[in-house]
Amino acid sequence: MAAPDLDAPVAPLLEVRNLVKYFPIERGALLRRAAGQVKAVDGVSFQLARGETLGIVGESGCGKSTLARMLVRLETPTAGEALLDGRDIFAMRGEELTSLRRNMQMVMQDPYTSLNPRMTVGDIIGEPFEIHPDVVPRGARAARVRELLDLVGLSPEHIDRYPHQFSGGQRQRIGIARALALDPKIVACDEPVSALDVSIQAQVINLLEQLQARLGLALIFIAHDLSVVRHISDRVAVMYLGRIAETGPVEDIYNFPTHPYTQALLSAAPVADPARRDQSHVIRLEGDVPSPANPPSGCRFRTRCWKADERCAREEPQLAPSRGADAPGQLAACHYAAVSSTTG
Amino acid sequence: MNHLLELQDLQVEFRTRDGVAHVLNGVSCHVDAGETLALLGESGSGKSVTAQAIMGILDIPPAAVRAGRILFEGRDLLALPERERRAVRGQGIAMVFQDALSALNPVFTVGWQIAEALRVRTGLDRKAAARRAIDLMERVKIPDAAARVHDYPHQFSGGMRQRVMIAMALALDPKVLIADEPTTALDVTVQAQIMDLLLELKNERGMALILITHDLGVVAQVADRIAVMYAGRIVEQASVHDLYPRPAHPYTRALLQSMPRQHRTDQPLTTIQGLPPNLLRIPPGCPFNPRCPIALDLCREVIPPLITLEGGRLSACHRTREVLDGSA
Repeated sequence: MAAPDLDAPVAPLLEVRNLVKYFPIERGALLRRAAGQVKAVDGVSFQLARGETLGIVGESGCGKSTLARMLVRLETPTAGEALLDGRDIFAMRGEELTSLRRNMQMVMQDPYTSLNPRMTVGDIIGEPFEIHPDVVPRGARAARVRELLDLVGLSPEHIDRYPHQFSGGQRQRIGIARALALDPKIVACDEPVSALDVSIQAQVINLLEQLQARLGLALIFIAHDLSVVRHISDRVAVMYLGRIAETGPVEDIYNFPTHPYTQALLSAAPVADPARRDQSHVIRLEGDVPSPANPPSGCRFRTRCWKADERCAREEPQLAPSRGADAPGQLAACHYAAVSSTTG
Repeated sequence: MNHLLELQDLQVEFRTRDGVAHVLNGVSCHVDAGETLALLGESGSGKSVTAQAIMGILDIPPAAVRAGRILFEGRDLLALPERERRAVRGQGIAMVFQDALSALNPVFTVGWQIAEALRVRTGLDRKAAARRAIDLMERVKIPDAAARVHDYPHQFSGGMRQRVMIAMALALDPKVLIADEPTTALDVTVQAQIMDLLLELKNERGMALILITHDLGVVAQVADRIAVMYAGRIVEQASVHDLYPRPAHPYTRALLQSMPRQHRTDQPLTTIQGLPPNLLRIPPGCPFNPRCPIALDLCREVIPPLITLEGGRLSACHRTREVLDGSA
């Protein structure tokens, strides 16, 4: 988890620019007509360096999973681009697209539904080699699958077992082995530990960190668990209703959040320390997240924000440095971004 | 003095195709009015089955209560005929389920569902029951309750649906409220609202609250006492203020250590090796012994009893005093 060297002007491995995904809402069974759009992701930009972990946090409906699914090209964006080593992944076709899929892999949330119950573990992990036959010669594939099983801490002898013979944590290891089979540069992990028990979560997080250090992977780590994201990430992006509310180096964001939503999210997370029960200055947000089909005008967070005024209803705030020279990498999209005296 | 609700040596098993699963293996605990007891455990630890046994909603068969008593206000619920048991459900003990979307009926309005218990159990007429449903919805802070009483479950957000569930549970003014992972399916900011509401209602009505959860953070913020479950047993029980800084059982200690720290370190997380035991084949001795870093030969042979330590806290470990003073 080497921190990116800020002084060296290295081109980022992945650069996402103004990514947008709208899903049409259709009405009518016979004559389907568009009745609106769900703005799942609405103008997201970020960079990812080689070997870096970017944590993406946010509540349900904020667009974090759609974002990941676009990056591995399971969804086609409505607009925007994502440059991998300088080439737009959404413009890729044919062979170039095939090689892209090699380089960007995904670990899914639910280890119970994301593995085919009728395939053996060996077939699941080896399936990528069917599509990318040049990666490992046919005769060497079984050996490579055994190597991958060993790499993720499973016994190579279990190559002929079926998913139901494994526990949840072990299944997630199988999902990780499958994602690593083609030696990718970037792995997007969508809530990889949220279906697992606490004692098993730690095992899988440690495994991801070890693998990253060993293989030099860049990780996009999507989760709603703030303490897990803090543990694993170099940088964090906090999303709200399809946009990034705040982003920056992980310790800056957690210690000195400047966007009201980040402050509320961090303060609402329960701390596993009963001594801090009464001292914590908890910000209680009112209400629920508005529908992404009809987001508020101006700043999307304004309907739940205690700082909002009419400027927030009128002007949509853009990401801008929020702590000046103290934290040049920290950006917030808020007209009134400031470190709060009660958090941090 | 009698406790409001007391479990004594509760044993429940499930008969499955592959054999008998020993799901609860002697659970004893109690809760009093105005108190919050957390039952904490991982999947398969028996925390939800404990709740179902108290409510009398176990699927029998395959489940069977092999032994034990569930005393509510001094009466053993397991010995009551079904008709009397039903009278306790709702009025005496009520439950909020984890997944509000599947616990609510999609084809009836929420108002109808909240009022159902009132119509059936208290004989209120339709109009009076509907008015009472609106009161309850207002009490759980559902905005615009008078209009929303006619809405269906799918028209509510996850947080609002959980409020509807709480309103239903409160309808008959229960003395014990069991909340089974009430916030697990919810987002962090909504989770905080729901936990606040549950605590507020508990204090206002002097209810006992049994909170079933796997979340060490939530427990630390809301519970008075905590019972840690593992393989169908309570392995440690203490006040939260005693337990978090100084766990007395190696399993509790390992759970607390496996959580990511408040401050970022480059150290890997502490893990618990292996998996919870298969309930069809629980190992002899202490059920935690195959995963325990300090297990002795004794631990592989003899099940440690739940013993009382200073301050009235309980722990089931042969080496509990060493764990407590930090020497093991």
